[in-house]
Order: sequence, then structure tokens, then C-alpha cells
Amino acid sequence: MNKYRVLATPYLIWMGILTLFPILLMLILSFLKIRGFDFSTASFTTDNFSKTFNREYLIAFANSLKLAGLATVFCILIGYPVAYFISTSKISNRFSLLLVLILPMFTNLLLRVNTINRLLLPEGFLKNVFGISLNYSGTEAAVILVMVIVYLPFMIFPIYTVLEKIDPSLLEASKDLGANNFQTFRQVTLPLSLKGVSSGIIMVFLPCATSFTIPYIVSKGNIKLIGNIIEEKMGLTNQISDYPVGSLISILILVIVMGALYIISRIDAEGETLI
Amino acid sequence: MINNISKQKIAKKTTSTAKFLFLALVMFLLYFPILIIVIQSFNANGQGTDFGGFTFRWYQELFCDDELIHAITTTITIALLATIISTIVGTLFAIGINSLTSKRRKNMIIMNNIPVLNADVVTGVSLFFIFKFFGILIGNEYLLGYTTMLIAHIFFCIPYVVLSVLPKLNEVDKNLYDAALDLGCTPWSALGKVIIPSISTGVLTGMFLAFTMSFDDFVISYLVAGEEAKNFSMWIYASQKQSGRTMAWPKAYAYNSIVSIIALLALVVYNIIVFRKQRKLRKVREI
Repeated sequence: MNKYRVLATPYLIWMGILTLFPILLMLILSFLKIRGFDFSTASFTTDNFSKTFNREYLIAFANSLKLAGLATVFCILIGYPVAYFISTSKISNRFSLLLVLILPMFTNLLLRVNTINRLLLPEGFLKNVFGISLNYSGTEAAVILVMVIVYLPFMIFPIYTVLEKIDPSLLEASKDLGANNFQTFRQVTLPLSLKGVSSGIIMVFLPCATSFTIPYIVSKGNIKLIGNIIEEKMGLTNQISDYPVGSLISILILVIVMGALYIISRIDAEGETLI
Repeated sequence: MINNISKQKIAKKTTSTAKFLFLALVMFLLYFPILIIVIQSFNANGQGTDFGGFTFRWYQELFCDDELIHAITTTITIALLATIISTIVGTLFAIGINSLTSKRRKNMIIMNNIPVLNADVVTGVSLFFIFKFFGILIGNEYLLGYTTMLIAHIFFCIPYVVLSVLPKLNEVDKNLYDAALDLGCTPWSALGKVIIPSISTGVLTGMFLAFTMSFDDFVISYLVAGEEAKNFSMWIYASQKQSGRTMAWPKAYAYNSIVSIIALLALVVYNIIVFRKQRKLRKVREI
């Protein structure tokens, strides 16, 4: 099938133009003093670094780590058992159970975030119709809750993929050698499923930490994560843009993404847990 | 002894009840917001703070709101075009990647994973810069719009197609391919006659993933669409930012409910097909 090798070349070119070249562009922009995108008046500077490492942005960065970290932990605590129950269920049509997890993705994400947040208001639909009054709207807890609801399936899928592939004869062997159910789980199933958990952590943590719509919709702009700063710097919240600082923050996030990429290439070379 | 067995039975029953309750709670978390959206789409109270009676009003008004219909059309046409193009191109790329030497194959997969793992906002910023840059190169500063949005969607859909097709390519029987060549196929006609048919399930999965990703995208579209094009998510975000537009929400609920119901129907039909196939297979085995 060596003839087909030529088919990979256009992909290399395409990815070079749309992935590698922009990274280079962002690196260059990080060192420039530039107005808008006008390269003719640009000059070299290192000011962007001091602008990026100011208090407000560092707080946003810390907030991203904290909220996304907590959301990821909750996703593991809920998602692992769900994946485990599905993989061990006797239901002949397991696939339909998984499709039930996909269906919510066809509801617009922003609409879902807005709806969940409105349910957390003390006065509103939930109180008037069901008589339940919650008061969490706009809080960090609400941001975490929304993140968990939205990204939970992205934790369940990779763990399920890995659990599904575990050879049942290994579990039988463990039981034959005298281990009880719990010991078998702890010493056979859990270690074998850790690569699914790692993929899940990456698939949940990264989008949560860089999300700007969830914190914006839930807190009306009071809670700022790193994504909100990028949105602002790209001139999308007001017309004042600062591309160099936007580039620099993006590059910093990219460094973390590269780490994730390295981990995935080590534990799952074929990328099977990513879909 | 008998006592022991009944104790075990009770223990088993409690764990299965606990399992059921846990799964039910998770389903509640996932589906309650969607149920609320469906209820709100029939709610005569436009503010959505109370249930003011049943109405079809929002479903009718949905089709009269030009701006909203335009956004929905953009979402659907972009999703369809991006899905078709990325499925065809992604499948060919995957076949190319699969035939490389193992080291180059591995590197290509790592590169393919960049858009999958990368934060949407960073992907969006990167694409924004490259489109801006090309715009300056060709002397058109207002390049951002429908076309750049489509290119961006194709860009982030291809990796999902590649990832879905690659494992199926691994399972393709090499002897079958060699047999096709022996029987007079050129490598390119063998592609259509042997390889594509044996990876069709992977291609379908990739197609489905691509459509899902494109259909629900907000962040990347928002960054690369400029002032010109607007999809449904961007319309919602704009309404979110203008507090005076609350009356627009019920129409969005109506649209979303229609989409949910179509997705649900598609899911049920798909399940019936899979179920029938399984039953057929079982019958064949019995014979």
C-alpha cells in the first residue's frame, strides 16, 4: 500500500499552514509593539511579558486552574462509576446507553449553560413551578456545576473505551487466584483503566480551564478565567485589541497543550481514547 | 446456609438499586436542563419565570425572525459542507498516514491530535491570525466571514475523521488488497473496491463526529467569522450580551427543541437498525 503515501503529503502541508505557521506568527507577535495588525510600524519590545504577568491576569489564571481542577475531580468521581457500570452491564445494546450520553450534545452548549444558570436563581421558573428556590447563580459553585454537566461525557467515553478493551480472562484469572471482586478491581481493572482516566482528565480539564463562555454566562463577567482575558485581548468584548498579549497568553496555554500531547502520544499512540 | 444465600441476594439487590439510583441521578443532571428548554419552548410566559400556559407561538415566530433564521441556515450549511468535505479529505489523509513507515506514522498522528487537544480559544486565535495575515498578503483586510468559518470547521473536523478511520485501516486484510492487485486492479481502483468498503464503519463514525463538532461549535466560529457571518451559537452569545433581547430566547428554545427531537428520532432509528443487524447475525450463527 506504499502508493498511498502521497496522500499524507497534502495533510502535512495543510497542517503546516494552519497549525505550525500560526504558532510562529504568535511567537513573533509576542515580541512586537504593534497597532492592530500593521507590521509596517511594528517594533521589537519585551513589554508584553510584563503586561501579561500582572495581578489581574495571574488571578484569572489561578481561577482557571482552581475551577477546572475541581470540575475535573467531580467528573472523575461521577464519570468513572458510570463508565464502569456501562462496561459491566448485561444490557445487550450497550451502544444505546452511550448514545444517551451523546444526545445532550445536540442541545446548544450556550443555551444549556444559560438554562442551568437560570435554574439556580432564587426567583424564577424553579420556584414558581416546582416551589424550589436555589441561590447559587453567579457563584463559583455554579460555574463548576455547569462545567461538570457539560463535560461529563468527555470523561465517560475514554474511560469506557479502555474498560471495554480489558480482556475478561484477566479478570477470571484474578478470581481464580483467590482475589475477591474488590481486590480484582483494585489490582487489575483500575491500573488498566488509568490511561482512559488520563485522557479523560485532559479532555475535561483543558476545555474547562480555557472556557470563556461558561464563566461569562454564569457570572455576567464577574468571574474571569484566562479565556475571558484572551477574548478581551482579541478585541471581542470591546473594540480595543491587544494582539501581542493575546498571542503570548495563547502561547502559554499551548505549552500546557504540548505537555498533554506528549502524555497522549505515550499512553495512546493511536488516539483511540480521544474520540 | 440458606440464611447466608438470602443475605447475599439482599446485598446484591441493594448494590444494583444503588447503581440504578446513581445512573438515574446522572441522567437527571444531563437531561433536566434539556427538559426545561423543551418546556420553555411551549411556555406562553415569554420571560420564562413562570409557566403561563401552553402555546405554539414561539415555533411560529421562529420562522419570522430573519436574523435568527439566517444564523440557523449558516449553522446547518456550514455543518453539512464541513462534514462532507472533511469526511472525504480526512479518509484519504488517514489512508495516506496509515501507509507511512511506523515512525512517520506516529509523528503524523501526534500532529493530527494538535487540533483535538488544543484549547478551542487557542485554535480560534491561531486561525484568526493566519486568516488576517493572508488577508493582508492578498490585499483584502475584510477576509473574515463565511468562507473562513467554513475552512476553520473543515480544519477542526478532519482530525476526528482521521482518528475514526485509522483503527479500521489497521484491521483491513492485506491479502484482500494483494488479491485485488493480482486480479488486475491498480492501487487506486483497489482503494475504491477493497479499502473504502472495509473501513466504511469508521468513515461513518468520523462523519457523525464531524457533524456533531461543527454543529455545536461556538468558540472557533466566533473568533474567525468577523462581523459578517453568524451561526446559531453566536446569535445566542450576542443575545446574552444585550440584556434587552430576552424576548428572543423562547424562539431559540423552540429551535433547540426541534433539533433535540430530530436527534432523538435519528438515535432511535439508528438503534433499531443496529438491533436488527445483531438479531440477523445471531440467527445466521444459529443456522
